[in-house]
Amino acid sequence: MAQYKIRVEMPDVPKGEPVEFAHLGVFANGGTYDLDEDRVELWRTCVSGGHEPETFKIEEAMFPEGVRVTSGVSTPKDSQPPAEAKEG
Amino acid sequence: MAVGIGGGGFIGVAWEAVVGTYVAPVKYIPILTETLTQTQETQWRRPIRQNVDNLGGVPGNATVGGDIEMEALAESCIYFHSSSRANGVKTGAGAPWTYTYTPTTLAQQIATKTMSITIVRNGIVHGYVGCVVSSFKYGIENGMLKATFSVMGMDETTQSLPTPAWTGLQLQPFGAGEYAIQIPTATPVTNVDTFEFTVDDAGEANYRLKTGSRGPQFIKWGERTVTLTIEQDYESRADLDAFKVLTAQSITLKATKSTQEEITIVVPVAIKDTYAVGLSGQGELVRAAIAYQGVYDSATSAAYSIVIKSNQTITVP
Repeated sequence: MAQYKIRVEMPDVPKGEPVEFAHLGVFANGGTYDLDEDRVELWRTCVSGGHEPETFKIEEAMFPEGVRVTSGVSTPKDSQPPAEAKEG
Repeated sequence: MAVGIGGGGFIGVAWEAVVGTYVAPVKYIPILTETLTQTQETQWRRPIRQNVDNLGGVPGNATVGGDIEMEALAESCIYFHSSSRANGVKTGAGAPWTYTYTPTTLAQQIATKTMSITIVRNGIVHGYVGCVVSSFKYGIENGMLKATFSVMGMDETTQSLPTPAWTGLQLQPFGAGEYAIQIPTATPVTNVDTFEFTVDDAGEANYRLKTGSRGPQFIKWGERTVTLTIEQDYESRADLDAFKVLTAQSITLKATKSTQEEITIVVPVAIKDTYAVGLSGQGELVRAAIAYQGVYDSATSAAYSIVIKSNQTITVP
């Protein structure tokens, strides 16, 4: 399953100012955030108008300057180490 | 493609480095309605040759234009004023900035001030290029300040689908209780309930014979008309007498949301053009409907000015 991150560093927007990307959420300018997979699915559905949403790749979407979505591969939840182990 | 509704659409704007060359949006504007369309002066063939039917079309000149109506958010309006027939000056040491727009006498828009306007309707992208503001209107409707910008452009193009970023989320439009109307300027009045301010720079598409495009070579501005209408309680004949002798007065409308968001419209020399007062019904208030013409003011070298305070940071083109 893909794991998406959004980097929001818009040059003309003050740092910390909330920026909304429809269906994806609101993010403070000047940071990188995980994107919820369900939100990405919602985004695909809305952008495509429900017509072949799987063909809409969010990492290829044309975001404003300073905004970028990247994808990686997430670790399945059941194979992640427990929280205590991560902190250590 | 499935059917779509208006709410799924959006509009974004950017200034162009080269007139008519598309630039992807740098700012997305919440709007209420838009009517941008392509207009074609197709020549329909009606030759006389033993036939009474239309024999086809020959391409004629084509242009784009229409109205964009929006809540008058300070951060949105500065983009359109910067593409109007006005000189914009940004002042301040930091946000909130003050943007002051003063009209000019230019015949056409200068290169860096034309806009690409991207409108997505049902997921389909329309890139309008070479756009300028031909006229604009501010009005208060049910307490809310609204703005309408009439845009004229050179062409409509197919573009890639952008993904909007919506900023200024904490901002609300100007509403009731946030206006100060001064007639004359510096004298607040509380007997006015409607206000409409219009500037029409008489934009006109100008076509030239050329290869590769049917769009206008440029949009020409003509005579400017500045008008202002208000409705006021009729409490004295002083204004009626002033109308009869063409007395001029300065009028200011200031909308203030906060120290970061203000729009001030100043008509420094307003002369009453029409003055209508009548008895309209047993229970109706006696009111005066007044239309003003904004006249050139030699002291400020302008027939109007618009001052906008906003946290939005732009480099005025």
